[in-house]
Amino acid sequence: MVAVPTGPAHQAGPRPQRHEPLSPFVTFDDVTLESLDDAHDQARAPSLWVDLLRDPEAAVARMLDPSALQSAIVGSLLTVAICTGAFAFIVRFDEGALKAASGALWLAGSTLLAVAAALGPIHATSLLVAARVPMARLVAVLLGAVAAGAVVLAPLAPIVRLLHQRDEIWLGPISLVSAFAVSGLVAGTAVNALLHALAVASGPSALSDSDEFRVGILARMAMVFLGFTVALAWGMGAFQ
Amino acid sequence: MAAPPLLASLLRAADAPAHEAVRLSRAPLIQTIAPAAIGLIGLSSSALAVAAMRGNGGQAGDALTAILESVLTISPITLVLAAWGTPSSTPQQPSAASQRPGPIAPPRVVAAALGLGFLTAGWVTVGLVPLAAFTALVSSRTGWALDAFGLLVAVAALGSVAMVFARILQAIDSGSGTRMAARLFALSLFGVFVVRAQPWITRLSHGVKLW
Repeated sequence: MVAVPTGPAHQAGPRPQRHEPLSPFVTFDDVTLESLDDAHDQARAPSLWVDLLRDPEAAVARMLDPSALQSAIVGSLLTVAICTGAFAFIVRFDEGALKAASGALWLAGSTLLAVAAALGPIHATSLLVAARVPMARLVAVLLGAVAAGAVVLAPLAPIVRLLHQRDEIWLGPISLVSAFAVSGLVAGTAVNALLHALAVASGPSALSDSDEFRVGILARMAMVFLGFTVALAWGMGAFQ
Repeated sequence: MAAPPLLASLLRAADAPAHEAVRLSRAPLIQTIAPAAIGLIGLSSSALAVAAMRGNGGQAGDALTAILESVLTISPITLVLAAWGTPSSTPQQPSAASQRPGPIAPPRVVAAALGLGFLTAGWVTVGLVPLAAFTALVSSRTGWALDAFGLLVAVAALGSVAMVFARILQAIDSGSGTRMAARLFALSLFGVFVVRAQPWITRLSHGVKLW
């Protein structure tokens, strides 16, 4: 509650030690002001997309929990579909809402198909290097990694649209390709981090050098296959 | 004498935006949208009032579009980057479940910061309307002073959004990374505004006659 002071009797105690600068002309009742420490309240579980972006261990913990695995997969799938769809819709909005909506459906669908197409080769690689990943966890990891990339892709859409409006010969296409490249880098980093975190969390002990080596091969091959199929999907979606 | 509850909550949002942003991050999303909507109403009214004094209502649309597009272009990536970045000072120990500290600002706090920024922007621009009316009275010969005033309203609105955002972010994490992030937000906001409003600014500069 903010009150107008009427005299010295209303002088409050010392102001909060840290925190934001408050008006010296107003008396604040500290009880009604939320503590700024609560902004980083760890008790509230962060969203799946925040975990995927910055905390692979927490994301992997969801995948290893059988009751949370399904919601992690569905959540990643929806994140991929919504974020890539939103990207295409915003970038192509000037061409008309109907065309933008069809572009959104196309990009979202082709990205999901690309993940499905990369699944088989990556699974086969995991068999060959003696590092088989159970299918449900592999699906969760791949969708999670692409979801992390898609979360970064979607907010770049307004910037691409702005630059495309300014210069559709150079700035527009360059910014479009750059947005895809940034998103691909994030997805590649995420697939690497998620596979390593999954290997560490699944086993009873720390990874040996040989385990590290095989997980490294699998992570790099996953990046190659996923990069190949998703790049094709985004190329088709963006330049159809 | 205590202010009425609605006014008190508005005053609290203006006086202690960081505390209010933390409170809003827990409340239903509609409570984050409400101050933004109130600010937007104030912003539109003042832009319309300034343009009407010039006798050119269309200019209000120019100003509002440029402001809104600047904020809408920059805020999504800000939301993601704020969730991604790691703060330099964590106010409490990370929990056992996750050994890493939380993000610079959780997405809901950033959304609340933008909403409160709009509220302050509406408030500030409404405060500029009397000055616009005074300018309209004293600058009778040409209208360029009022045109320039329209630009000032837009810049003041964007400055308010950037200032409130920086204030909230730095209150919940005082590290140098956060300070840089707040500056980058302000720079990008004005950068997009200049790109968006360039035709308007060019038109304005053609109207200027100094003698």
